[in-house]
Amino acid sequence: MEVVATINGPSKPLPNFAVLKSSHSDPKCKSANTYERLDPKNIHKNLENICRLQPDLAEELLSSVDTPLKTARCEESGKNYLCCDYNRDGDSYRSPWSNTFYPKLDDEEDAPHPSAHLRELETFANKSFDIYRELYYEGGISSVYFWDSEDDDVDASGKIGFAGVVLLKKTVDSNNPKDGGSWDSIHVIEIIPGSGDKATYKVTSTVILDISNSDSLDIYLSGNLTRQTSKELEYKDSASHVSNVGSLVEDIESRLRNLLQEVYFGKTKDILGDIRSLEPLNSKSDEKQKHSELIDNLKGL
Amino acid sequence: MSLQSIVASMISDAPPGNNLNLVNDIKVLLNNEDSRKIIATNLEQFYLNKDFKLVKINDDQFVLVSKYNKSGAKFYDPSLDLTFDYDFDALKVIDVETGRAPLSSQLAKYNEQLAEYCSQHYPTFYKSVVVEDETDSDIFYFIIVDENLNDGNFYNGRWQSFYKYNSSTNELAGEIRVKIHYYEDGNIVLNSGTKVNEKAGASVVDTIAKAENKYEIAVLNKFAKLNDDLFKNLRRQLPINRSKVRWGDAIGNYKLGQDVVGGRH
Repeated sequence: MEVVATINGPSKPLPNFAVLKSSHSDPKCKSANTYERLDPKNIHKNLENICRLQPDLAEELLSSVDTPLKTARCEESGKNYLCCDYNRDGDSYRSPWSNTFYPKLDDEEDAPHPSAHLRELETFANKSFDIYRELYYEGGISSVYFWDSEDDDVDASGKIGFAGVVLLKKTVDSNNPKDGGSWDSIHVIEIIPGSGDKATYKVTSTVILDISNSDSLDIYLSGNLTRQTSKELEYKDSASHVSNVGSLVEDIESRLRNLLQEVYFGKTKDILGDIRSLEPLNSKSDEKQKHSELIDNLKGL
Repeated sequence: MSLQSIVASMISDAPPGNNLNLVNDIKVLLNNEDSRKIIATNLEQFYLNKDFKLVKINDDQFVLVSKYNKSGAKFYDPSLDLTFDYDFDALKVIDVETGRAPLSSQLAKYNEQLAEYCSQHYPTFYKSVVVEDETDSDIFYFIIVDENLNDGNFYNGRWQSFYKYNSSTNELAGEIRVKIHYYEDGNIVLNSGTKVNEKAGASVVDTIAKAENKYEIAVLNKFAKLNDDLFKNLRRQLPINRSKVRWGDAIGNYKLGQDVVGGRH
């Protein structure tokens, strides 16, 4: 899978720092830098603080920074769904199950909805990812949102590009608030059909992972990883974009899961070993010396 | 929330590593003519009241900035036999002077033992000091700060331990704290700590060594446990039927809650 450093974002800003960081040495960039360095466990508090210092940037920062996903309840279907800037209108969020905003809007008609065919695709994608979620997460919530490009509404041919976001969230709770874990994944996708039967899929994926435990000692591992992926795949109609996005997200999540496992439980463990050595250091150098003496002796044979 | 408390919160939340980047960023965010002063004051408050600062005093030696080794307006280092001040705006040691009242033999011994122990367990940049309480001569403070800064490989780590030792009751009480920041294409923090309450044996440094080993082993074991118990319950590596999802129209063949989870629900 090809991983590219920068991509042209979909019509909405990408929810990661790559965009902000590439800007100049201005407060916007500094906000992203500072935020990126502060403890991800306190993500909401830190964002709030930065927004207080730079109120002009608040809206842009809040819409472009990934935070753990909030959930809402769809009154019509009775199901929960996930909220992000892509299904937001004011303080309301559109449900992927009923295509309706909650809390209810006075002017639902005027709020942004996908065009008729794109809504069909969105419904299909939500059903598909609901199954994916059950298979991999055995619980949790998934939501998929699509939006039309500025040029044209999507039709069944699949030749008109669009953008979307796939969201997944799983939380493992316990009675103790200091114990538990949460996984939030956010995949922002841009679909660009080419001239032939191939389309380019650009995906910016972020997983926010929090793991906390407090029996015997206090520990938390908290943070996020972001990766960008671009891949060209064949398509025959608009529905094949949904299948392609599905298998692409499945691959990316498996890759990110391995990476997170490596960083959270491997890398940090190694770093701890580098900070403090369990074995006395001179016994290590003694061993090294014995080892090299042994080699010298063997050479002498 | 006041400006001061926002800056204080940012400083206390910062990962281990160079303060310079953070300071520069906060400066731009504050965009205030007093920003340098606000930041310096908050840094000082943080290192005197909440944390200890490991600072370079010359090319190959480190000293600690903390309220425990502060005497009057200046800090002192018991084993290097010098006093110094620290400029929280320029972020450097200033005003170094040699010579101070000689250490008691007991304090000199503690400093030697702790330094010897640290040289065996802390491979990178570290500093240990033992100082007396200003009023109670039975009370000694043992402090270790160790940093492994590796921005080249996108990580920084810090170990800090602090103990209050009462030589008449042999009670050793303190806290170990570890913070690791890994930030290659992401931002991940490990934050861990434990309280230590021990009855010190014949050698207080041996008791510290045992407590620190015990804690480090517990953290290393915890990684495996969290991986097995918690992480695996968040997202599986493969679905229960060990095959990838059949995307497209075939997805309609899955029956949620039956086929999907192998009839367990």
